Amino acid sequence: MIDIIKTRFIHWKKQRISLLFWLLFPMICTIFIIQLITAIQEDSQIPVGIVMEEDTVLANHLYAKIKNTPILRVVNVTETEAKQKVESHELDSAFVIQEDYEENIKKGKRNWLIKSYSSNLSFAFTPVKEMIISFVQEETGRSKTAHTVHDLSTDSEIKFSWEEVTKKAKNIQVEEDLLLTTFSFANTPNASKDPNITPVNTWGIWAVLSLLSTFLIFDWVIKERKSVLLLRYPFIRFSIKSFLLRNLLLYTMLLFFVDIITVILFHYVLNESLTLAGIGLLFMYRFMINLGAFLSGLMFHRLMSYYGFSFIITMFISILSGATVPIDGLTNRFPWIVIYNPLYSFLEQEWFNPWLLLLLLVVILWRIKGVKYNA
Amino acid sequence: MKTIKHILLFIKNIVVQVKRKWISLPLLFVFPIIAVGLVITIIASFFYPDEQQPIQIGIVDLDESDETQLVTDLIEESSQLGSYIQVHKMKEKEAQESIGNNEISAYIIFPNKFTKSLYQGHPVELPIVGNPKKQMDSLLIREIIESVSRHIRASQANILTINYFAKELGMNDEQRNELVFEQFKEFVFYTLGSNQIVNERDITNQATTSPFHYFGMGFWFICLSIWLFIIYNYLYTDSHLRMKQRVRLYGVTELQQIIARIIVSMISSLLFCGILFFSIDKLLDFELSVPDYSKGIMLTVLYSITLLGILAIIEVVIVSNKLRLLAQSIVLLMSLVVSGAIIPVIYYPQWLQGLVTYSFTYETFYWLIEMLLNNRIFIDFLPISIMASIAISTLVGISLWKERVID
Repeated sequence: MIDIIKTRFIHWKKQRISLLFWLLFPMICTIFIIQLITAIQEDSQIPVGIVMEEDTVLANHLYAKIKNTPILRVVNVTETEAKQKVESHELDSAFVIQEDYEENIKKGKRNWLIKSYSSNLSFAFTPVKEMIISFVQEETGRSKTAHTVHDLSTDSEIKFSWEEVTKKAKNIQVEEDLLLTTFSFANTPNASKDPNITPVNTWGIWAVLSLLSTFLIFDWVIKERKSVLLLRYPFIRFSIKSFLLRNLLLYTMLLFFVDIITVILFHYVLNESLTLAGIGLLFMYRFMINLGAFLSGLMFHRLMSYYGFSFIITMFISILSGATVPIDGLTNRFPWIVIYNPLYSFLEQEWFNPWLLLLLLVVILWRIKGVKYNA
Repeated sequence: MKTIKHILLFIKNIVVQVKRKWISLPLLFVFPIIAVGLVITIIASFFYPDEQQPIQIGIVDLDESDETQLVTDLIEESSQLGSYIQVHKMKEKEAQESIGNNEISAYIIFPNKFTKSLYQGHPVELPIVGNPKKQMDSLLIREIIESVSRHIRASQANILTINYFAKELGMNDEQRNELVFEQFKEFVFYTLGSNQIVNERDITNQATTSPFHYFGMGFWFICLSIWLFIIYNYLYTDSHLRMKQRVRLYGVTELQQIIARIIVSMISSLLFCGILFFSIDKLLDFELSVPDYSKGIMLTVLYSITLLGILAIIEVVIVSNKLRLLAQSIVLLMSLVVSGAIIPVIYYPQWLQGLVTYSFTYETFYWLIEMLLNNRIFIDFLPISIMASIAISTLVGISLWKERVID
């Protein structure tokens, strides 16, 4: 074994830049992708057109509220521009604050205060509409309150004006923002008001990138089975199979060492949790993809086909595993899909990993049987 | 003249090679369709939830007052949430178990003394507990509850105001409590009717402007790009240095081989995407005229030249096979993301939108959509033509320079 380590180190020394790049690639690239997605998500805005048909206090108030909503980018337009820009999909949708907006609210009317334009490409229309409705509803609700108070006081000689009541209601709402929702996932301790739940899955992205880099690092399985080299194996102490397996072990140790660094780095940079169980699962995942890469390497003789295969398999697994696109919709319908997902055990923290067992079995069978390279 | 002869020779050579491996050709054709189709199915199944298997939510009512009963009943029956959400009242323990068994996506707790606190103006928390195995569902539910609570918040202030003025008017406690409950109910229903505020107008004059058409084109565009990428790399042969040197003695440059590969991969990709386009057109019907076709083909050719040119530049610059494939995939992925074929560009942050306009994929996809969906007659070929010529001349420059250096 010492000899193997020695020779392997000579190999590694010669290709240290390439090796170092592929070892660090998943870690660095994941951090970069997460930062990029977060930046884009934070700055993403929905372009919405607003048409002001009147210039009153309430209308301006509504406009200011819409404009102050971080996820909306307000574009001032006329009604014809609005129609045309929604049609050409320069705006997601447009809203018209209609004439007599204030007057109608004061009268206690609320139907059709706002007119909206949307097309079937307005993907964000429903949430934006809901938001604007809730803004308008606040005003109309206050107005309704004022009317209710007015009705109450018909028999009494004390009268309260519309302005007085709405001001009071506004004050109460501002002073005592009372109802909060908190969100937490089951089995996680702390609930928070604004939890950082993004559909981006750090370990999912890492798992996919690390799958790719592992496959590419494992091209030694092909390089060291070249026919020129095969002739020399009878002259060394190991059979070719035991030579390859020992190297597999060595590579697993190296890669797992890098994985440990990754876990620590992610813990500090991306606030990922750091637990012993997580490291155990990570080791299982590492072992599984190494076995997978090892066996795939054995199937190929040409480097280029193996590289192509690596990229293609990475792509399919990244799609089907839910690491890049959320597959909840699919798994809800076809729950059996998770069995075929090699990343499932690692990402969902499940100790049972059928892929690992299967690959292990194949490697053992390959060791015992098959005399292809022993001749 | 000699160059053209060499290029033709290489094309012939490639064709002979491909004939030998013809079994893998249909695979090349089908592979991107499957991959991209899969992504679309996954995303679609997410956006169009299955009505057979609605999202399950639990409601835990620890308060059990008239008001929370009213609200939970309403939520349980409300059609506003649509048919794809089902709400069940349950005990807290049941809810925890159901999450453990993966039966519900989330549950909401109305805490003890919820109503009382609301009326008296004490702060209350409405905890939502999500199922970590169904993250996307949980997020959706959170959004809904957020908007419900926004309505409750506004109503609450109004009810408190009424309560305040009723006190001012000297109403006795019993009467006032009754009034407040009345008002609570009234505001709940008032909230449910809030959709009347907006008068919705739909703008769809053209039959061809639908998400299906848009993303159908997106699908086609992505498939085209992937075909160009994989066919170009499929034709790559890793020749030894000695072989390269021998070939150079005949006055053959690497550039000639690359150009031959560019031509072959372009023609085969165009063939593939022609077939795909006709099948999409059969399904969706873009109502195209003959000049539209010629413009579309022109645009596609210019785009293919640009993309292949860029891939070839990467090939010339990066010697390592692994790194080359990685760089090419990253460039392809990035260009597709900014093209708008996956997410329409208007939803990106403004700084990104500014950058995106310089991308050749955006330029191509924009004009394709303008032509096919918005019936634009005029197409500005200038930017994409400039980009294509820049890509090709850079490729020629770098390649010739590199050949010199090696010599």
